[in-house]
Amino acid sequence: MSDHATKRAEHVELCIPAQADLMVLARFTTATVASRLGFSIDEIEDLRLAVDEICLSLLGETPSGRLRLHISSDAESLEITGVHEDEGNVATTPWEPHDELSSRILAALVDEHGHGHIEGRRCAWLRKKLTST
Amino acid sequence: MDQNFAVATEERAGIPVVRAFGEIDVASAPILREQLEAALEGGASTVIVDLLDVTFLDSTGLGVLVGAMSGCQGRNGTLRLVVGERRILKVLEITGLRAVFPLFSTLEEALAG
Repeated sequence: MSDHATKRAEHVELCIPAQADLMVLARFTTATVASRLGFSIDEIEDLRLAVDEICLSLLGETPSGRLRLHISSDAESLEITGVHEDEGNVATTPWEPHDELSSRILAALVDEHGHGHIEGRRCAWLRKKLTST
Repeated sequence: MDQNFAVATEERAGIPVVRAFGEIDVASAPILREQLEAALEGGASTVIVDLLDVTFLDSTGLGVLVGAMSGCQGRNGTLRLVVGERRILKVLEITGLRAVFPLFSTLEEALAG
């Protein structure tokens, strides 16, 4: 891949209904952006799985509302923030990891990840550094 | 209907073999769970899950496999996995599950136990 195609800043937003069968769109979009940034095939696969886990953590037991993904990059890393937008259903409970397996996957595949609330909405994020030259 | 996933069960040498194809995620994992539960309800104690054609496996899919393993162990059996894809092996490795499941690289090896 040429230098022109790598390490350029990107900002992509994806807003989809929070439905299990649409998580494939989150994975596809993440892979597309990561590919444009010059991540290796293995790194792209890591990111596909990591963003899937982020989305899982936001879906909850009874998915409703919408899931908005902010995918952005600079010269050094890719950052993805997922926000669960569910009108009239403001999160008041502490965020909890989807499960232990999910936590292990995220810890192994990305450089940083976390979770919290934005204006009462549950959010989760990850960051992966570009290692390609 | 998940267009990225398919699953089929057959019996080989008296052992249910559940073959999965495509991506196992939150949408498709329930379909896999149904097949595994049906195999166990059919009286099997040991089940083989063929993941050779699986290209994606997330924590929900892993959870289904762990649940099925528990069901097998409750019947003094086990859940054997056939895995060839490097990505799938990696997921099992990073979650610590590689040591939990008996892993085989071919169905024939899994049948032989």
